[in-house]
Amino acid sequence: MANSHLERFEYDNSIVRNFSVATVIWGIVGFLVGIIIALKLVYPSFLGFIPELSYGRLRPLHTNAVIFAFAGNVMFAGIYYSLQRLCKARMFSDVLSKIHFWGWQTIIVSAALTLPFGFTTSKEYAELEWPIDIAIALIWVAFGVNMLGTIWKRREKHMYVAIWFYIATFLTVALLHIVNSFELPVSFLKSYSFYAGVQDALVQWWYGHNAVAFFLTTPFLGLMYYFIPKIAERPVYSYKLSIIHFWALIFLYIWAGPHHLLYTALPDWAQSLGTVFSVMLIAPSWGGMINGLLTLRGAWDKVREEPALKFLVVAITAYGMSTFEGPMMSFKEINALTHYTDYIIGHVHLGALAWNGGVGFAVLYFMFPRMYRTQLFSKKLANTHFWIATLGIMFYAIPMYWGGIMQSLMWKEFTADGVLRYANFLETVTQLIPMYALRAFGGTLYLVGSLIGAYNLYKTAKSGSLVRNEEAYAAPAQQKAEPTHAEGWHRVLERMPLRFSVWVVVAVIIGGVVEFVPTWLVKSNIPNITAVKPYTPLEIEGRDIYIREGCVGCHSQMIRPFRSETERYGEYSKAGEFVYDHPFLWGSKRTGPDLHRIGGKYPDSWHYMHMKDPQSTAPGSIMPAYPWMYEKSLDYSHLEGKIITLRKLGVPYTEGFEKLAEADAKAQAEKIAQNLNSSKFDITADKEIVALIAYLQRLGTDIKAKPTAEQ
Amino acid sequence: MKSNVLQAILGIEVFPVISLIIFVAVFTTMIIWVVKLDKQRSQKMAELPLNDGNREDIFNKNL
Repeated sequence: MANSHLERFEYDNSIVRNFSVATVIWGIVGFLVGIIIALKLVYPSFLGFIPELSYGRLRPLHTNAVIFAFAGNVMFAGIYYSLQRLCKARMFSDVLSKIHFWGWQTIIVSAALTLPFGFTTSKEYAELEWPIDIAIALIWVAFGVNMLGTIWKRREKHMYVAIWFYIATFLTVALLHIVNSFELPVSFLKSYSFYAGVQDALVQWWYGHNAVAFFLTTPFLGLMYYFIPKIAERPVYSYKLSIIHFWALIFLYIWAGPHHLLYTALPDWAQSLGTVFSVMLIAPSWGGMINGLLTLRGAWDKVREEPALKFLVVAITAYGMSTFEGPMMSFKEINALTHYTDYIIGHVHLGALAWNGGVGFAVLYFMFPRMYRTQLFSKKLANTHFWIATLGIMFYAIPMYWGGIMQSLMWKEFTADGVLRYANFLETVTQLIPMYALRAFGGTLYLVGSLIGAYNLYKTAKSGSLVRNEEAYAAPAQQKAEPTHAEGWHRVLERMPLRFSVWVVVAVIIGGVVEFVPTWLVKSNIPNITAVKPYTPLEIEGRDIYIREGCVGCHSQMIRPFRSETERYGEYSKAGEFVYDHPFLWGSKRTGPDLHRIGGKYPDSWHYMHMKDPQSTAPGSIMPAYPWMYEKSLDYSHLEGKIITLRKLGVPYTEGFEKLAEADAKAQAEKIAQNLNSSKFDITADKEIVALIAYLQRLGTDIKAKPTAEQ
Repeated sequence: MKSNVLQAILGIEVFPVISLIIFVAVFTTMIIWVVKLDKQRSQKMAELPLNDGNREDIFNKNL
């Protein structure tokens, strides 16, 4: 045995264990919050009307917990496990590993401590306020340095395809996070987006789309390429296909963002480009799916035996389904049907529960027995987990798909006389409630499965002892990796992480630039509508309450140019109407109706009653009540700062206006309060509801004919 | 929303053309390279995850 030249070293399993435990804990928390908000859509009064537990504030907590805490932690666990073994090296720095782990958990805790209290930027999957944004950037860099350092000092000459996916993940997420988080702070936990209106929307969905691509897809594909061969004990079906998969995916994905903004201010060619690239994405995505599944050829008996493989097979199948749905929904005609509906909720949960959850649990079931040098406590329980989770996904996704299409068709249905058949939006909502109940049941099944999984993993850990430092052997790294003539350029590239990274960035940036230049130029090219004026100080306060309460989670402010929408809501939304909107509040889901033309539609008294008890003005409504807005006094302490910040961002408030702002706000509030008092409502001008009414009554009125309610 | 907001941007029509050229160039290069890839080497690359460098890997497989 000529092994004397081998170097002995140790893999760090502690860090993998830490991320794994965090995954399980945060996963359960994230799923639980999901069930709570699902139940709130069935029973709006569930848990009472406590501000910190209201739907609008918990929804971003749920999405952030599942994406960044559950999927994030399991991705780090899997990366730390596989990267060390693929590189035949311990992580570059134990200190950086610890900083990464504890930093990431601190970020999650600070999310849990800010979102329920209404500290949010309102931009989807980027809700966290600016100090946390900075922390994310720093911790992400710690992760990247640690990863690239490990790759740098690796003993294995070549970089396996999984590592390419990890590198692309690190670089692209860094780019996305930084660009989308440009914001100007007003106070410690309040900021306004650097961008406004259309531009803000374009940046946000460039981010949103690619966050799904590079946070929830590429790292998990990397894990798939490592763990499927590992568990099936055979190499990947086609390494060549995996190369095509990688380059095609990262190159195409970044171009496809505009499909989130069909029927908006984006020029037609950019929308079409988004559609074309989205459709082309099917090729690499399905190539990857086929590659994963075919790796199991001749090993399907193992799928019967091995619960982790069962999870992986369902995960990859769901990946195939989601990546088919995505491109299909990029077609304008289909997008017109599915956008703003629960279909999207079904689509993302298929991805989150089956793909991310499936890969995640498979990785955990594989790693735990190995790290603890023992056997899985119970295969039977793992199988139970698998079946309950799969059933849960079905109970979740099918009602959402069905309900989404059903509601969309109802929105668009006209009678023979040419009027909307369901003129009252609520009629289309009440029919969805059974679907919402089924969804809550599906989510509960998924949580039960996860609890069983947690118990199984706990017992597995108990039955063994953690091998904190696992010994391994490999030939030492060559000092100089001079390329030989026999080697192709890519082989050289594979050996040089730095150059490889540069190419990844180039591939990503090309697509980004083509999508991004119009985004930057759009600012100076939006037609000015002279009637559009900045918000009054009171309206700013009202808008901030709207943001704080997460109203954007259920109400869009973007009327598309369809007859069914202009009939229902009024004139379609124009790009020039949003020039002072820092941030934009277009929304992506209509659990309630669009609000862009709500201003002047109803009298102040209607809003007063509606927010206090939505069922009083809309019987059967599933909107929560907001009793605290009637008790809490408006806080004008940051108003001056808000005006100054917004002026810096380009909103034309005159110099010195900030000093007059409070008086201006109070005068406007007094008028609304008097109006409410005359309708026999007992309210003083200093209450929050007054500011919210001021904002709602302003919405969309700049270019609207004089509203009837005011005449 | 207005779909023609950006049409006033100077030279914007060159964007789709640039996109097409970049796209075709990148993909042609990639496909040529993958087709020319040596099968033995790619097989070796594919087997990388199977060896953890543990004692068992070293002695059983005699790597």
